[in-house]
Amino acid sequence: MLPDTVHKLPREERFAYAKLLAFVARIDNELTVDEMAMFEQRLGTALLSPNQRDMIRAALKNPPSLEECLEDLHGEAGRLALRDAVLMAAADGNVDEDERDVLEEISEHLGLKEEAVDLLLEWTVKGYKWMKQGYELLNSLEE
Amino acid sequence: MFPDPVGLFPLNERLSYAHILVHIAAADGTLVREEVQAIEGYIGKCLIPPDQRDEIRQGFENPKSLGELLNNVSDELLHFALRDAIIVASIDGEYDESEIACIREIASKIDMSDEELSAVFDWVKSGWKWNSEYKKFISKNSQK
Repeated sequence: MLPDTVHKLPREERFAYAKLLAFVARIDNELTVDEMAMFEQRLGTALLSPNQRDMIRAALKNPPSLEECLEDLHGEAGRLALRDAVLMAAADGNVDEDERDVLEEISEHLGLKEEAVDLLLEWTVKGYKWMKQGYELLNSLEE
Repeated sequence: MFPDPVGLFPLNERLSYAHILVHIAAADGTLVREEVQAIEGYIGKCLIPPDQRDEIRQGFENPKSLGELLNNVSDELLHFALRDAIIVASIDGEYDESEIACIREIASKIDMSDEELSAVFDWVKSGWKWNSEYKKFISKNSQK
């Protein structure tokens, strides 16, 4: 929900970023409303062209292979994609084994340290706590 | 960035919610790319159908009246709109007076006190701090 540097990437890298998220959203072959909302949110922040958005939504229906997604994903775009892949994988409250394997594969492709996924998961948990504090705050203000 | 109940509200309310955020982004008369990015993210998150998004984007040029928009949204969704309005207003690094005035107008509509409003500002600030922490895990320096 907080903006970041995704929009500063070249358009083709933003497209590769979004394609990976489409893959991650479909790892378990289910797409919950929460996952869809998160996916659309990240798609929005990537500021893709309408045509590219259509292509990414099509990728959501027929996900490309992970290898295909990783081919075009390097550097900053790859690291941001991994971060948001972790957030998406955790959207339903649980990161299952298949999701974990994919996250590790992305991290390895990017040449990150072994503990990168664990650290991002810890960061994600902190973020969920922050969001929960926000809900509690808003609830406490409602009559 | 996180799942949120905003997408569960009726479409007409979500459209007004999005217009409120556009109004905030346009309030200081300048529109930075980060604000557009955030608004596009919120439009996506609240699952507004693609064919209705252009109408919201037109608000960047001609924002709708905030007073009218506030009447179209339930108090429950207005709480979320206030939260997200503060986030949008914080994006360019400082709160402009015109943005603060809009935020106060939303807060007034839901009878929020200055103290309560201040707590939401503090919460947003803590979110920025949390958000910046990921960089140390995936920066170039964190590669093998």
